[in-house]
Amino acid sequence: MDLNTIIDKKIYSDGSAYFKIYNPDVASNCFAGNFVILIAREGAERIPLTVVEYEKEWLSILVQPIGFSTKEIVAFEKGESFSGMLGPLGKKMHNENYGTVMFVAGGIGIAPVIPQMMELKKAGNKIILVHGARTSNLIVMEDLAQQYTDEYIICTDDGSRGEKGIVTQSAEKIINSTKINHVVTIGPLIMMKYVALLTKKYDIATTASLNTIMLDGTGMCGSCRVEYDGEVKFACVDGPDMDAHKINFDVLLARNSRFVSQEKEVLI
Amino acid sequence: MKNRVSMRQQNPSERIKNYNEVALGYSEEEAFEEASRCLECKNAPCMKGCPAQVLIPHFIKEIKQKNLEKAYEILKQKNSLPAVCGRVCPQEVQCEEKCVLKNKGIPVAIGRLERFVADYGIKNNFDKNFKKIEKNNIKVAVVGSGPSGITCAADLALLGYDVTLFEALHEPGGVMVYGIPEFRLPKSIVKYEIECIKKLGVDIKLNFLFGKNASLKSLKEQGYKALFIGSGAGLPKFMNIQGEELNNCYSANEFLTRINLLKAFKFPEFKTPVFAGSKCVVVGGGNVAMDAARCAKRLGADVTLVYRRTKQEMPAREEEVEHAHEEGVKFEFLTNPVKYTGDEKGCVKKAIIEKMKLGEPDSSGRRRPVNTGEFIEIETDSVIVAIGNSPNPLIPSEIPEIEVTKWGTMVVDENFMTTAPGVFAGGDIVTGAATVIEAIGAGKKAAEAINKYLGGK
Repeated sequence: MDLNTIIDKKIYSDGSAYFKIYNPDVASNCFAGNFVILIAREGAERIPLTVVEYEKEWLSILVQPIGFSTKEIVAFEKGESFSGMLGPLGKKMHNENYGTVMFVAGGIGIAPVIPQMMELKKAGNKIILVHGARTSNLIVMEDLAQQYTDEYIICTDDGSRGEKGIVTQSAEKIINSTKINHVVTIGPLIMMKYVALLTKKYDIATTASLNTIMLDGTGMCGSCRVEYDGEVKFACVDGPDMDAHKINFDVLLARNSRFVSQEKEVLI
Repeated sequence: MKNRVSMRQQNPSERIKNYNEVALGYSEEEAFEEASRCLECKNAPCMKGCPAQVLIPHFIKEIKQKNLEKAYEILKQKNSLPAVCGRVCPQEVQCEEKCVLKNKGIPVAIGRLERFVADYGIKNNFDKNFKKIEKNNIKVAVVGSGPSGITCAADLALLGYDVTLFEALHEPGGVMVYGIPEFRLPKSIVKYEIECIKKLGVDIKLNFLFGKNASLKSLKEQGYKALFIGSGAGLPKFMNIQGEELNNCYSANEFLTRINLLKAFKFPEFKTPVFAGSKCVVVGGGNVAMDAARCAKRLGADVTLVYRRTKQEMPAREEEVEHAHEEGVKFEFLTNPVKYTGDEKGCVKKAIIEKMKLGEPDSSGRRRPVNTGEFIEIETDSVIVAIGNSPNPLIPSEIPEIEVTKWGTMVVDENFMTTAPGVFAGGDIVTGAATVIEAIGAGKKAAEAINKYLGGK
């Protein structure tokens, strides 16, 4: 089989595509927390994507069609091959038995949360997952997620599924009723920012996984830089998992929107 | 004494509208005339200035005799990247600096002649007859396909080794494809010279990350007997001043990679965007700063380059500074940014710059710029920071056996061997940011050392 052949594809209710991709060199070296750079075809953008599952010969990713390049990726079908994939990139997640770990996932942030829950569960942790989205069809991958959770709370902004409200409300309720030793949050930047503010209030160590704009992904270009504890750090080699209480989310929010006008130009 | 034959160039007002090569090269007549200036010195001082050990008087002699195929063969004997070197080597501080004609006037234009012969060889496909290389079936791995890696791989392949070249990016060439712009080094030239290396039997594996996809141990298990690391420059340096995090404030690496490797200058045909705006400030005084400034110019920006010392201290090649100047890049010498401010969307809008003056010489021998307390402001839509790189951190972080200095460069002995036995390194990962030709020189010497280490003659 050619490298980067799509072995399986599935479209979720939010329009995201799940791809199972053949690449033993990448897959056999992956661990939770790692990401890959995917090049759909020659001349395409280099897109960073966090790995969901990793076996000996294949790995899986979840891609949400939000911009030109992600839409192009989502249009690929089973049996076709992507032009290139580089990885695993970034640091592996920190794996230890904290006790009870609460995951707070938003939207497709559920995808990178899955392997982290799996590894932390294996390490002996009790896993609580708060999984939120705006509305019910944006809640995806529950089947995979529930395998690793001891407690699974779904919430939607409009109350169409699970608890009505935003993830920070559900998370705060849990913090008030259960002793949480560590929090991992992955999802939209704005959500991670508020989760970080919440857990700081309760003084609970928190990890966030950053998905910044990247080019090479190997520590060469500096596109993914973040302000971290007052210093410049690079999500590709210092992250993507970083201490959420040290990240300047406001700078990141601005930086991740820096090519919005060009993006519109390609979509026309 | 005859004057040096000048090289034709694209007119500055035209060339800032395209990405075609600026310098147009010699015609045959021009090359013959320039070659006739060479005195063919027996002791060949020029060769002492060439890290690639090119047999300079020999190839120039063949040009004189209009024996261009032979001239090309001589060039390629020592250097696998002559068309690259003929364009980007700083010959004025290397071979041409040592030319005896320099004492009497202007040295032989060795670089231009090298470029002429290399281009002529490519055009006439002189590489078609590759000599059969006797294989020794010893496997060697090379990491990084920049100038040092390519040179090391090619030299080892010529000695009969079975070489695999691992590259992390989706195209081979390293800084020659992601860093140096098309108008200074056409990518078709780089591609051709790399194709030649493949024809020597070098197997290039793209999208492969040594340290992640393979460990030292797994390479040994696969039968590799030695390894050369030429992983190049890494994380860009910033000044750590307020506002550097603003949108449209780039490292030169990011700006140039978008344009050169990912072809953002052809956006939206190619999908990676870049933005320079109508006004751009470039910070730095090296060749990379000149490349960034000239790219921004071609994207349509009015470019101001700020440099904290004067023109005399600039590390960039004089030719590059001259080209940038001709293209309308404005130079603000003795200035240093202290802060950037932005708009409500987080985009950079203004650079606040302090005027500097020269003080006592520092450790580099150049006079140190000192603050004056006087500030100017420049309106801008983008900022490109070109003040250097640290070495790439990825391999040392994955392979603890390789010791690094406090600057992050790999420690090597006089034979280019790192602290891990059988693992050699060269180029920017050892020296810190330097030139293409120095990396080629290191790759060459490392190939000799690897051959010796593996018992070759």
